Amino acid sequence: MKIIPLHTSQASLLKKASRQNREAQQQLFEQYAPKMLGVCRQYVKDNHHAEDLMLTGFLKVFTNLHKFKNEGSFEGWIRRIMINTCISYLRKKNPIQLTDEDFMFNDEATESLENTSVEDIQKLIDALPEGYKIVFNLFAIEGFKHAEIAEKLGITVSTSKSQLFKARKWLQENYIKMNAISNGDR
Amino acid sequence: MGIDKDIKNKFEERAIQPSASSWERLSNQLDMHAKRKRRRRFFYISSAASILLLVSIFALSLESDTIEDSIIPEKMIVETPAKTPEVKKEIDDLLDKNETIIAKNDTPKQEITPRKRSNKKAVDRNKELVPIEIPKTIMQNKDVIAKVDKSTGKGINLSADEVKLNKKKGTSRISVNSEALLYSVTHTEEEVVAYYKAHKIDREDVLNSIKKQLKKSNLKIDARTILADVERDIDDASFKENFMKIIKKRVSDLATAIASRND
Repeated sequence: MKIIPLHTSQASLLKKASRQNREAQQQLFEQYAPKMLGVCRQYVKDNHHAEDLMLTGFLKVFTNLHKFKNEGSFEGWIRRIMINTCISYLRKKNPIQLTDEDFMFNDEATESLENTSVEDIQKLIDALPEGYKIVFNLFAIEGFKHAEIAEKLGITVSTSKSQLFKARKWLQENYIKMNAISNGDR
Repeated sequence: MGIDKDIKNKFEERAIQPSASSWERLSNQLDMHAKRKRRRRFFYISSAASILLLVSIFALSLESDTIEDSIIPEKMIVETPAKTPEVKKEIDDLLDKNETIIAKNDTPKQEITPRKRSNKKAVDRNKELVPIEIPKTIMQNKDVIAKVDKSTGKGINLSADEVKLNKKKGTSRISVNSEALLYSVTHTEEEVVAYYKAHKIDREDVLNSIKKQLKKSNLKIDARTILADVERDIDDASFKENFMKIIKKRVSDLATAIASRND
């Protein structure tokens, strides 16, 4: 078992890691990797793929650590890097089709997912079409605004809104279907 | 929205444990990246060094080219048409009066000492000295020609062997000043007078004629110098036959040399 010395503060740990101190980097990795793997898993269905993307993200983190100015949450900074890595991977793999369509926002159709497990929700999200999934993740989970999403994905704000609406609708419908199947099994 | 809020709450704190080898893989990737970075840096540095080296070699070669261009040979012999036809004509007239055969002089060689940076000494030396072509007959007869040692002011004898040595070096000329010619006179006055009597020539007449012609030509040369240079060879049998011819040649050579120097 490898013993890693504890660094007194986050700042000194980041300083050492930016100087390519492997121990400091390992400590940071072990601290943030589980959460970041969870982020990556939101965007890709496969765990191995998600891990590869997480490692690519961490490589970017450690090679650009000197650019982090301690002006915000380090976790937030890593999280953004992970999201960007996942999006660029998905865009490279399959150009995301995002169509600009009119939509009617229907709040009544929403149902609570409070009692649903994360794994089940993840399954629902995994089943979403690529375009819906990215917009839903960015808006609903990461808290980006439509303007930011539009800028990030190179689409219009209305497209972002329509994609979110369709994603919600699709999730509700599939949630109902999933519940019906599980109730029928019982 | 309720659905968004529920999903956000569930996913915000979600953590998935990565595989045990994940750090090793990342560490390897970081090592590879560092190596690639070092290699890239080395490539850039070596490229920059190579470019610098090439530029400096090019600059040095350019500089050496300009230095070679700026070096002017110390001396060069240039064939120029003689600028003393009038002098020659006057001498010819003089010699015709004395019923002697006059031979035409070939185009003389002009010795030019081009200007060279910080070589004032060479220029000064050439100002002092008058280049005179040594006739072949003198060298063949193992005669002695004299020149003046500047430091002592005394004449130095230059043997025919030394003259030959100079010839071997590519030059048949020895520079002497006018005084040097006086030192070259090796005969006593009695011998000279006897010679003139034997050949029925009036020495003073010849001297006056030379002076007159030199004055006309605006040449400030002592006529006796020319005559003295000739008289030292009066014992030579072949010289006796061509006495006036040799006088004419001496005057012509001197006039040409002075005219060339004035150029």
